[in-house]
Amino acid sequence: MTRRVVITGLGAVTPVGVGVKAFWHALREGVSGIAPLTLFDASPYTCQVAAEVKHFEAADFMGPKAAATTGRFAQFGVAAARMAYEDALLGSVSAASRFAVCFGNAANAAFEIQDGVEQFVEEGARSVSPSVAFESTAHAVTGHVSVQLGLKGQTMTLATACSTGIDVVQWAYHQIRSGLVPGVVAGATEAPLSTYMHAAFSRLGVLSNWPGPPSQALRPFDAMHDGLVMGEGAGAFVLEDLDHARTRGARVYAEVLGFGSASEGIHLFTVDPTGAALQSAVRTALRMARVDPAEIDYINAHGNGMPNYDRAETAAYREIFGSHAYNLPVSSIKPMTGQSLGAAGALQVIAGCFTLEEQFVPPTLNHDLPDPGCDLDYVPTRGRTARVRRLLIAAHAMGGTHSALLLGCPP
Amino acid sequence: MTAPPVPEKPHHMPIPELEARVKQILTNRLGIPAEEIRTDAKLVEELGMDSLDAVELAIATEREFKVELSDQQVATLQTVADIMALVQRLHDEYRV
Repeated sequence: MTRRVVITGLGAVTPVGVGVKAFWHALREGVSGIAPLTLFDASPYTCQVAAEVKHFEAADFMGPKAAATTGRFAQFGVAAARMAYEDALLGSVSAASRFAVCFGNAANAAFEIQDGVEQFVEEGARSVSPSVAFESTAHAVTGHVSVQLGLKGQTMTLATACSTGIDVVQWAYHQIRSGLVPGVVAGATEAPLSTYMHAAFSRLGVLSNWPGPPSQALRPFDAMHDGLVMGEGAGAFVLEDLDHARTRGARVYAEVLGFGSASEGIHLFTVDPTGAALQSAVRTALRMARVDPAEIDYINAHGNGMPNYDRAETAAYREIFGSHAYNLPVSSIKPMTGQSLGAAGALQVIAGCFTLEEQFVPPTLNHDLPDPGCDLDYVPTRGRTARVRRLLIAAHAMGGTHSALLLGCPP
Repeated sequence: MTAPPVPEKPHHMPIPELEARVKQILTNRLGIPAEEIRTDAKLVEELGMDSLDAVELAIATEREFKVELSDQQVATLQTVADIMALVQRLHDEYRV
């Protein structure tokens, strides 16, 4: 028996809204969440903007004690997971207690680790909180989701940098496909806006130094692109065996058709300009889905606004899709969400689900004058209605890993 | 001949201030609004404090009041008022 895997619940905590409806509405309207940093004094840094999550109350999604003691990245993850769980109406499904949890992130509890280290240095070992042992690790969010939702299947934590948010879909897909679990609550979260992380990314030279309005700082595929803007947030989804979903009458957003991932194997930071690893990842996904490149109707791109990344990504699409590359819309939602590292891919998955449902592709903001190496249809400025039956989601992780996910309309 | 300096008399921290600061520590850890915390509330039975909370409470209390709590002292705490009394006593001792 070949099981098919579908997405039946969505949840999001983002700089442009808490909840998937607010998130998708902002994407449709082209609203940017990038603004001056308020979480810390950014005056020592050239880049003083970020996409911060606003109007988020942790106590709306967990008990008061958990809200008071859980780290910011885990709060976002739990909130998104609870929204996805409720969106999928799992509360009344007895089998849901056997669901697995797969969450990921890249920066762990960046805030809390920095605070704890500062206290340790200033006041010594006696000041160290014992909670650091389990609140600051990558697995903290996965554990919290399992506890808060009472899910007793396997828990898995992934940390594949900026491809984490779609790699969790692959893990969930294989668990369900092999019949180990009827479903998985999966997602990715990130709260990297600490001074330490900002300093590191600043020193790395990857942050935008755009002198104009903050909302224009992240400029994917544009001639003036000069770097990324950090963001935070979380995206979560319920993945489920199609038969299980149909039996209980669940709403289906999308079907997971295929997945591929490959690495450049060259360097942790520099980018292969040919985009060979992305090509390999996409071709693997197409083979798995038994889909021809010409059958892809839209690409939700990595598009992080770094010139070499944008050009390599475009080169890969030209190579894979040939002349069809010029017929399909390609857009990046990062000018709206910021680059939320591990969570970015999860937000792309949610956007992809709504693209399929509403037959609408979100825009690439700030794409005014194309970079000479970027010559595709990037849906500049305004989103548009489009016939989308199958779409590709791409993510590029620092370290040289590329992941590609294919979603299709509900079967 | 000048008179020797008179030793500074220990003075109590004002009770309302002490109460407010102790309750804020409990709020930060347990997520319970300060106005809902009675001074005679039992830490474990009524406020739901566990062994991990006790360690976190001790760390936060030491930092807030610049005092040092032994594990034995922490183990004897049963109510909010017990925390206040211990802090007051340690505070007075440090000032003598």
